[in-house]
This record gives sequence, structure tokens and C-alpha cells, in this order.
Amino acid sequence: MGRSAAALGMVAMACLALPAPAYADGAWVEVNPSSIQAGYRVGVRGSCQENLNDAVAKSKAFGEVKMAPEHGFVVAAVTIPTGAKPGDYEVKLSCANGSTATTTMYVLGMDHPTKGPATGGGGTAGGTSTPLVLTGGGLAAVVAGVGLLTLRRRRA
Amino acid sequence: MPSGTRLVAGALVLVGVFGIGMGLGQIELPSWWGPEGKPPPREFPVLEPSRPTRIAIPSIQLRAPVHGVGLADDGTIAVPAATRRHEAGWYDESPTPGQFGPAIIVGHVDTRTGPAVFHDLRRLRPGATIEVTRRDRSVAIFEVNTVERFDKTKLPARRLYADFSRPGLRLITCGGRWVGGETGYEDNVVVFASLVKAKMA
Repeated sequence: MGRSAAALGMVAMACLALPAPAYADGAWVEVNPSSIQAGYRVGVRGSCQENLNDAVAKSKAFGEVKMAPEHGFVVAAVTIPTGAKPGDYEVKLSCANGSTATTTMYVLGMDHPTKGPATGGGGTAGGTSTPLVLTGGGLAAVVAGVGLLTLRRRRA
Repeated sequence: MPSGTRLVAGALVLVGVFGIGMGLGQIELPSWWGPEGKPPPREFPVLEPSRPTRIAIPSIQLRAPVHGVGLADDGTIAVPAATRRHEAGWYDESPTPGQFGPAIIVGHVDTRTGPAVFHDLRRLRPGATIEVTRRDRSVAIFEVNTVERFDKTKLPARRLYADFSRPGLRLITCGGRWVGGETGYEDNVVVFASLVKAKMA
């Protein structure tokens, strides 16, 4: 699912003029996912017209990685170091033929608290037992009613 | 033994059926019983970063402003002040709604003075629409996948914070049994949603 769905999404969103890959000399580069938590892995994909040679992607977030030709693109996978500061980072593709392209990657510094936020103060929203009481009471009433009717029929 | 008994019996049955209906309608089904949840879409847009300003959930008549919140002293995600109980808080270290990753928005279920912004969150059903308006005037439209409840001390960190495969949304409020004191409610109600569309406001 992941990569192809995301790639499709990248195409679908072009109409909204969203993170479109940057073009220069026909070269482009994109990072997927384009926003990521430090310590996680991203895919970098680009094109240098003829993608027969290695290319290089550079960013202050992850340094320098070699991008290898694959299925008509140049690709690489890179882990954003856990120490990377949150912020916007330029990712620059440099092709063997000298052309370049850039895109932006957003590194997040989210904490992952496993203790939930204190989002209640009144105690009015609790799981009450009213529905169960209603259902039970209703059931009892139906049984009593039907019982009464049958009893009456038998006597008659 | 005249028609009086029959009348009473009839009334009992009627009231009973009504009661059962009312009761069943309100019961919160356990997660293994309820609807499966709606899977996220195969195709989705991805938006440039822009902070959320408003949230709207038509199916529970919710409309509220959104402002940024950070972390509280105890390491949990901070919540809007009690005086701003009709506002929701976007955790400002999480992605903005529409970027890859889980955008996190918290809100009170209630305060001492009454119901608050996310009071009806637990009534949300899979497939419901959530609209988040952003500062760049675009509207990110999410669809609810599941509505779940977790013990407040054991939130599933990976499911909450680690899914960067698509633009997602997590709405968090309180729920479950009221225990008071430092804890308040025993549980957190979490709505998991995924971006399906985007439009300009």
C-alpha cells in the first residue's frame, strides 16, 4: 500500500498545487513522506532525464546520500538522525550531468506521551448505566405485559 | 377481569418496547462488537504545512476555533484553558492537518461549568466527515476510521503518533468512568481519521 498509494496521492494533489516536486532542467526530486519525525526513515526519489547514472541527494538533515537508478528514477532511502532539529530542510538532488533540483522536507520533533491529556474536568460525560437500565426495564415491562395477556387468555 | 387488564398489559408492552429502543440506541458497544471501522482511502492528497484555525464536524454539530498547544509540565499534551473550553488545541509539534503524519487535536469533554467542545466526540461513527480549516484558507477533509477508548495511562503510542504513511488526524478527549482527583476521567477517547480530500474555503 504505502509507497504506491502515496505516489498516487502525490499525483492526485497536483491540481491543488501542493508539494509538487521542483523542476529545473527537467530534473526533479521528492521526499516521501515529506513530513517526518526525527529518527524515522524516508524515501528520496528523483529524476535526471536519463536515469542511468548515480546521483547525490544532500540535506542538512541527513547529510549526503547516493541515489541509485531504479525503474527509471534515481532513488535512495535514508534515516533522519534522531538528533535532527525540527524544522524545514532543503533536499537537493545533484545529477551526474550537472542538473539539480530541490524540494523541502519537514522534520518534526513530536513527543510521544503515553499518558493521555487532561481533557475533562466535570464528570458529566462518564459512562452512565442509564441505557442498560432502560433496556432492562423495557424488557421487564414487555415480559410483564405479555405475561398478563397470556394469563388472562388462559383464564378465559 | 375486564378490559382494564388488557389495557395495562398493552401499555406495559408499548412502554417496554420504547424503553428497549431508547436503551439500545444509547448503549456504547464494545469495540469488538461495533462497526468494523472504515479503512483509510487508497488515494489521498498531501498538503503543504499550514496551521489549523477551525474544526467542524457536521454529524455532531461541532464547530470550533483551534489554537496551538504544547506540552504540559507532566509531559502530556497540554489542553486549552478551562475558560476556552469551546476551543480545541492542535499539538504544535505534530504535523499540520494535511501533511504526512498524524495531526493531533485535543479538546475538553467537559469542565466544571458544563459540556465542552469535544463532548459528543464518542458519538462519532466511522465514515463521518471532519473538516479542518487552515491558515492558508484551504480545508482539509478527513474521514473517521475508528473511534476508540484507551486507559489514560496506556495510550498506544505507535498507533497515535507513528503513522507517517498518509496525512492523518487524531482527535483526543476524555471518557469512561469519572474517578476525579488528578486523573479526572479514567480513559481517553481517540478518533482516528484520514485525509480524503482538500478544497479551498
